[in-house]
Amino acid sequence: MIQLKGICKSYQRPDEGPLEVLKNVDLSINEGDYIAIVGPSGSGKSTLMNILGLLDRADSGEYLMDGDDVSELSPAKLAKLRNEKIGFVFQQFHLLPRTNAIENVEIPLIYSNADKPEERAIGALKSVGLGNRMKHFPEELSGGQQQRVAIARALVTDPELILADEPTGNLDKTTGEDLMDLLQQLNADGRTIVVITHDENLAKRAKRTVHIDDGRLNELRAVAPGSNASPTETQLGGAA
Amino acid sequence: MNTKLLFAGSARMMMRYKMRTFFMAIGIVVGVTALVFMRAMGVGAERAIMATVNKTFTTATINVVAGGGHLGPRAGGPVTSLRMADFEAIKNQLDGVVLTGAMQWLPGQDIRYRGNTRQMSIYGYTDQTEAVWLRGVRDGEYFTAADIDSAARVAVIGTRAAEALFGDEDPIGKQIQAGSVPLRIKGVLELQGIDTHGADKDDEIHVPVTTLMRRLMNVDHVFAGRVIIDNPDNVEAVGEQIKALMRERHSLSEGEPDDVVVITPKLVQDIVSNANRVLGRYLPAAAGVALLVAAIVIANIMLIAVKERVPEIGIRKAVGAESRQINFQFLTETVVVALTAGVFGVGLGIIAALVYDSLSEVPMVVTPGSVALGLGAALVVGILAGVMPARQASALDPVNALR
Repeated sequence: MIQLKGICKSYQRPDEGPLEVLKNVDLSINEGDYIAIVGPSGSGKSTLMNILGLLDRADSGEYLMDGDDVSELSPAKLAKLRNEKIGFVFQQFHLLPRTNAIENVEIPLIYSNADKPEERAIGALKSVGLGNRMKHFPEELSGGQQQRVAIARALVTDPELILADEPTGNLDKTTGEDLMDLLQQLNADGRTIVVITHDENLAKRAKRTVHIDDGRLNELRAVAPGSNASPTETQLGGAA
Repeated sequence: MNTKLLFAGSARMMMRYKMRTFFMAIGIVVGVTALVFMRAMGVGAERAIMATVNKTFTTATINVVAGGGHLGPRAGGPVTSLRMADFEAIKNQLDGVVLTGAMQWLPGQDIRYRGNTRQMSIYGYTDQTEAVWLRGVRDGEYFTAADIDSAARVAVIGTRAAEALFGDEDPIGKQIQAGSVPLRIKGVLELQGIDTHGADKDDEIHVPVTTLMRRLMNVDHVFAGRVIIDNPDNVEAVGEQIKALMRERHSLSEGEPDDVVVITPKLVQDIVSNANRVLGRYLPAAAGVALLVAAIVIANIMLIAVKERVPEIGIRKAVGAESRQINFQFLTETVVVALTAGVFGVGLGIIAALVYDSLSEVPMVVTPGSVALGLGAALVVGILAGVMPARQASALDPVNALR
């Protein structure tokens, strides 16, 4: 579904030389994958997430989405791809205040041509177990419920890929577990998921774990879907 | 893009951020209210003045007044060159002239009837007054051609003047004194009210113009006259011919200024609309200043709102909003608030105009044009105030916005 080949990204620092954040990263994401990207702070996780989510561009390398190179597309085309193919979940939920659950979930549909947006939003909320909180404002919902609204918002356009950045980072242990169950459920239903996380428990639930350190990627554990084979350490890229 | 959903969102934000909306809207409401109110005052004044003008001045009318270049008294005494014969000549020599009528006037004369005295203006007219000056009698009769020829000692009197002199008595047939000249009342003038100069046209008397010149003033010139032509389209052309004819008849050499002023309906309308410019243009301009301040306030509030809403902009971009759609959304929100405020302002302006109309003597007229002006002003303010904040919002980088 998505192939990253030789992705490099560096940032210009004011007084020092450029900071290389991603160094020749290769990553292949297949349909039905559930990948955890783990790594210390400053390792380039967020940059990788932004590039994967088409929010940022790599300096060099190839990004193939469904076989098409998207690295040179215009900002407007990228926005359309984000709308159609990617659902985002953030650590801080990023729900709009004074805007109820349905209205929050509808937001991606403003920028698509989908009909019956309200019905779709209601459907998405029901699928994350919030059928009874649809008219609630974020201020009236618990953290776990807010993150579920955010997941419904990510699901409402029926995207191929869910990108979640520390989705349990702002949740207590129990709510975090519930959310992990939900993500696992979504994956079991066929949804491709990539999470960036510090949370080892969350990483353990993924089928594949990719470690990123100093801008380089290593796959720590790759489990074939449905199998219980023990983790094998492989250098990605060549293997993919 | 689902515009309906976007508009619904903008309307919702307006309702849910009531304080912000209120402070954005208040300037426009006040400005538009003032604009509509002042336009109503300007249009009302213009209509009132034009109604008076039209009542006494048809579009096929040309006034000829003694005096060169300007109206009113001038140094060196009155201009004495304009004669009744000039108006006979205009009628006989120029094409398209239907009627002419000369007039003279003598202000501030004591008119006596038995023990009563009242000061008023005496106007001298011809027997053609009803057709030329559009005023006849409500009782009795006007002068005849014979009255003019013989400089008859007769008069017609305005209603207020008659009430002052005669009280409940019927004035017709009674004899009054103007100086040493006795005048017999033949009729009572139609009501006309206050003219554009502020004179009460019902507090005056008319006598034959010949009577006024010969018996009361001892002059042989007239003050002014009026020319009625058959085709309103020709007033300017005939006006020029009259000027030329007067120069010829008064033997003016080249380089000498005109000794008459020719007043066409266009000139009258120009003078009136000049007067109305103050009400019609400068007062609304004051409202425009209020609206400009409103635009600055709104732009500031929106800029603060954009700062507060950085994560929102980030999330919208992440889920697929293009920059131009963010731009459109923020501009829409500003314009929706501005137009709504404009609707309130127009409503308040109309109410204020109606209330003022019923409480005061000032006629207030709200036209569709004024309503459109109010809404248009609100729209312009909304767009002006919204452009910069919207551009700032749309330029945000989603990566930074979501950090």
